[in-house]
Amino acid sequence: MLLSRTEVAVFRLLLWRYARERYLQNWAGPLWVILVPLAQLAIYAFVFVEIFKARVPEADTVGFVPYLAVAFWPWTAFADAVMRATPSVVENRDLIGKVALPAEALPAASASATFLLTLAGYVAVLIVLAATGTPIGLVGLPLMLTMVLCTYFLALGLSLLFSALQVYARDLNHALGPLFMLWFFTTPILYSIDLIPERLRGLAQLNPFYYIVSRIRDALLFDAPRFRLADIAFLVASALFMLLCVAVFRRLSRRFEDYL
Amino acid sequence: MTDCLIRLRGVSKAFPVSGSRLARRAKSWRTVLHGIDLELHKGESLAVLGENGAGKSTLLKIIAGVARATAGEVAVQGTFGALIELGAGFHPEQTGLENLKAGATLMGVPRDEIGEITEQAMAFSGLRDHADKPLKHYSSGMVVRLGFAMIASIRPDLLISDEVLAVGDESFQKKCIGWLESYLAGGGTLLLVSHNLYHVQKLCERAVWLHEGTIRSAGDTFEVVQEYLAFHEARLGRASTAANDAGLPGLAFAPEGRTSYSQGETVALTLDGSPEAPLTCALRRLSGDLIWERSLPVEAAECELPTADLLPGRYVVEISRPGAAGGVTRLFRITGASREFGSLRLPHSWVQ
Repeated sequence: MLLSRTEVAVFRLLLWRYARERYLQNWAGPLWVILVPLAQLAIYAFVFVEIFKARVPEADTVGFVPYLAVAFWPWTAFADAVMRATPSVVENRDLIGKVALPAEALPAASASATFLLTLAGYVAVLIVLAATGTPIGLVGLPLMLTMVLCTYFLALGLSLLFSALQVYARDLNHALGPLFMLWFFTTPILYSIDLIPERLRGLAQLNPFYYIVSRIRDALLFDAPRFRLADIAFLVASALFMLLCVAVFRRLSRRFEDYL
Repeated sequence: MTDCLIRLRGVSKAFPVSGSRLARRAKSWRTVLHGIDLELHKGESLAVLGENGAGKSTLLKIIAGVARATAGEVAVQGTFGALIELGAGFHPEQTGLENLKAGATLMGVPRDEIGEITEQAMAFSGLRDHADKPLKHYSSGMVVRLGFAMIASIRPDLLISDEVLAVGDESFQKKCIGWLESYLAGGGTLLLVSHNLYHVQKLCERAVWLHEGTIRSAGDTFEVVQEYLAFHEARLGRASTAANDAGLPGLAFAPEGRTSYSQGETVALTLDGSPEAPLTCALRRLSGDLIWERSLPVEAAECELPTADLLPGRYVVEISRPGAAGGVTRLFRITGASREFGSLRLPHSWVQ
């Protein structure tokens, strides 16, 4: 088995701890989980629609804000989860040095807490979009959830990988910010892939997040909720990537205590 | 054997010294443990003695699975609780109660037993009034109490404790010792690191003395503790044993080569060569402190020293000229178990 009963219990414990640290113990409590994304949504609506007058040719029917929103929060969940989880092993060096615990639970719990909290905001955003007239089809939900699951697998995998590498190369943390910014802007989240010059488009399509983003838009906005074989292949590939990262983490974790 | 909870075979541990964390192969390694062999069976209690930096904590961390041995085999069976340093695994922002629950989870206590365990631990620690305060407002002694109470409530097969008792106050220390004694009487197994030799002798049957990463001595606690104490005394008083024996008779044990006597035996010494001047015979501790001295009768050739009143330990017998520094010295050792400390047994009685 991949996980023992104790590992699951430790994971649950840490997940709760991280979730509480983020939001749940603040004054307004869990409300922030929903308020922050909604405020962001309002800001984007104002900036991009009123000021930039942004338009996306392929999304004329649905409008720019829904086009951006359905893709933006999965990305945020992914990027935030990885960036917050990366220092989790180094930050918990005291725990690792004193208690025999499955170290992979630390980045996994940190990434999961961030991911789930962001996802809660995503749901709020989708509800607001639907309530304000965006035709979000419930039929697309299975495909959308599958893509979110892929995002989660990728986030978990990268969190494990980076948090282990961070032990040996502390500079990694600083490089991740610009790296993820580059990744964000090269992924068609704020714009459509049609804006990318033809010769670079093939390259852009290699980006796994391009696939996730375009399939979520297909599912929720473009009325194309039918599964393709490629979706299942993508899910399997994401899961395999995560398992590979678990193996790499376990290999690297053998030397943690020497370097922490 | 199924009741062997800990088995170490040739365990070594080296830490990389290099500053660069990227270097997979560090340029230099500092070896803190060299080929340690150790076994601990169910129901036994073992103390680990040693100077600061001898590798005691590293050894315990390897056994607790927190650190990984560089070489050798480590096999640990059964459930174990490790108290390694202050407040192992506790989170400063969370309350005492939450930390107890978290700690129990980390130790693998099933979910449905956690409520009961935390209840018992709260009662044992005597910190119920502080249960809902964040741990950062606890004193260090309170954190230790909480940690010990947690272990005491879980009652693992094996308890690994690294010098944590020293932090609790006197009454809590007594409570812990009392609990440990009942735990051992009930078949528990203890691995203890402590500089408090009183605790060590009270709780542990066996001891190992770790010196610069190797086991210098292992066996019965009383003997190992005595050797350990003798080592420290000798180091402090080494200068005084430098001999200046010109013109002094030779001194030997009879039979020759014997240096170890059990308590109550007679130490026989022979003087070889006639003394040219008045001499004194002295009994000293290894530190050089004088225990007893008298002038030697003229033409003395043999000396018999009954040891019934000497407590186990190492001693120096010394022949010297009165008033002169240094002399001929020979070391011997009294073995035996005693709960009295010092050099001499004094007649005493208790009135109740």
